[in-house]
Amino acid sequence: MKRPLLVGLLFLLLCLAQWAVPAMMIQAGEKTLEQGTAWRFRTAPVDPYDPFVGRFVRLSYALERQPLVSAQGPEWQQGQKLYAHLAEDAQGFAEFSELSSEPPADGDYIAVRIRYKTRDEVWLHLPFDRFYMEEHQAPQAELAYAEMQRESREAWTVVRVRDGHAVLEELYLDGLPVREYLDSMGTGPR
Amino acid sequence: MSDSKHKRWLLGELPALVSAGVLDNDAARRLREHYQSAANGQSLGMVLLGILGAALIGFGIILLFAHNWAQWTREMRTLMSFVPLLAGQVAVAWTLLRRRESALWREASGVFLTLAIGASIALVEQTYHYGSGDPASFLMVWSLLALPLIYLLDSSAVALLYWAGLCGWALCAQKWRPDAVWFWPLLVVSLPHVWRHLRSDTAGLRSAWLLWGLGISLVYGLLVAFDYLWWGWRLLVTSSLFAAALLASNRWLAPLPGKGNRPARQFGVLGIATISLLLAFETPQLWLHYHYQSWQWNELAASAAVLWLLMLLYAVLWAQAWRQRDPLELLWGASPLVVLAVCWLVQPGVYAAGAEGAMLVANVYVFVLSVMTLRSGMHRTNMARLNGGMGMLCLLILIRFFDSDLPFLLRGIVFVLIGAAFLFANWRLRRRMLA
Repeated sequence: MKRPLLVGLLFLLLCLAQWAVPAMMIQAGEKTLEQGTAWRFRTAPVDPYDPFVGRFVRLSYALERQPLVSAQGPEWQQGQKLYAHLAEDAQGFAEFSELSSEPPADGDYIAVRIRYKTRDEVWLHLPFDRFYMEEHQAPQAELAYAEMQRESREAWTVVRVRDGHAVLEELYLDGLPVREYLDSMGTGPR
Repeated sequence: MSDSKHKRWLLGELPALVSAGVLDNDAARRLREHYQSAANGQSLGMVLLGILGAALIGFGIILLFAHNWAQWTREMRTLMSFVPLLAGQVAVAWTLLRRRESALWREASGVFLTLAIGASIALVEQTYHYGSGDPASFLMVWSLLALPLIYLLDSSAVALLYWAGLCGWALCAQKWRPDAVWFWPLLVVSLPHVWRHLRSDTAGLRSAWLLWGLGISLVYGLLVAFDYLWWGWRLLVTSSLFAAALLASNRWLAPLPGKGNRPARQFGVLGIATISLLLAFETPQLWLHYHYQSWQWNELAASAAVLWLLMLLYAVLWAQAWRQRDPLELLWGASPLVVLAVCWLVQPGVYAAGAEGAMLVANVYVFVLSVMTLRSGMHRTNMARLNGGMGMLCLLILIRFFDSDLPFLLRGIVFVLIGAAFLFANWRLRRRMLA
């Protein structure tokens, strides 16, 4: 094969690979949003920044901290992938009924990682800890949350879950989607 | 007429010179290769400006997307994710079809597409609110998708970006668990590009940049991928790399034309001087002592293989240097042995017996090294060497004076004396050079 033809062919393959990566990420996201089950997670937002992806609201969850009850616990290592089995608490929010190193045969679950571990507790990293917003809105969301918390009102996220894959759909402040909440407070997009 | 015009004229004359029998085909080919970039009408400045322009546009697009336009629907975002990618791919395709010979187009389009890959993935992450869990995967996918561009476009700027991505990945991967061992094979796959340019344009600026980029990536890799090792051992491994670079520059790379061994030598000297001066301080020594850990024979076989290869390379080079008996070269090359001695002396049991031993070894080493370098600079009428040795000596004295409780009066006098000696030595050398 002539060299220019080979180079052209290789470049074509590379282009396909470069398209395939975002396309697969989009497909996974879309499928989960369309077909996944919606779960509500109680959260607390703060506003940080990522130079590549922009301003976002960082979300921390009470569920990140779990007691170590499983017999497998002592073998688990920092950074290890675990599967958190989902269940609903009395108020309709998500909770973890069990942690396992293998995905469960039935029921919804999400893949999480061990951030660090103590003797009787494990701190997890949940894969939906960022809610990206327009750069002026993210700090406002944090301020709104701080204000709201003083009046003991809640913030939560709706996360779609399908086959262990989780996609964050919306962040709610006091029962309203965050952008609507900010609009209602008169702090919408500039 | 400008320099590049002269070169273009010369290239135009080549066929006539060959047919007239003034030059043979080989000589004409070598001349053509040598002056080709000028014939394309591109100076180095133009190529650099092209790279800078492409990089600025690429980063600009990333920042524009990072604004996170609230008005965009999800469908629009999805579509927009592919726009920079498509633009970059069109630019590269155009380069491959129409501007293959132009270094400016190859480098600039390569840099732009590399950044567009990152922008594209980042926008999808933003659209679906993917979490912070896996920056390592993001960087790895980005780097791997850019890697073939190094070879398809013969682009050194993409190689530098690839190494930066690889270093970022190693740091993120190591944070979760020590699995940055892939750093080494992924670095190796980019080496044929470096080798190709080292062979074709040894003394060129491109080769120098590639060597510096590679050297910095190697040091970074050694420090990050071995982060399970105690700092003393990591300094030992890194100083072996610097010493190997210096010794290799003096013998294996010495026959390269046009001082092509200079980047390796500068890299080695700078690294050895930095580590030696660092160990001359009291604080790092104490820190090493309090955090001492014996060598951990980790299960990471790939990292261990890199380690042993590096040590072996250093041992072979030092043995070769030993046969030539150049004391200055041997002394600079002995830096890993000094680090090893320090590592042994700061062990809890040994350190308790002679707490100042490790400090003494490091300080004596830097002192002898700087004096010998200074002396060699005087003898060989080499201004750079003289000032380098003097500079190291000054830094050592500075360290000692900030690190100890000597009276201000004494410190003042010694500084004045050293300053005067510095001026005197330079004056003597300049007179000798003029004579």
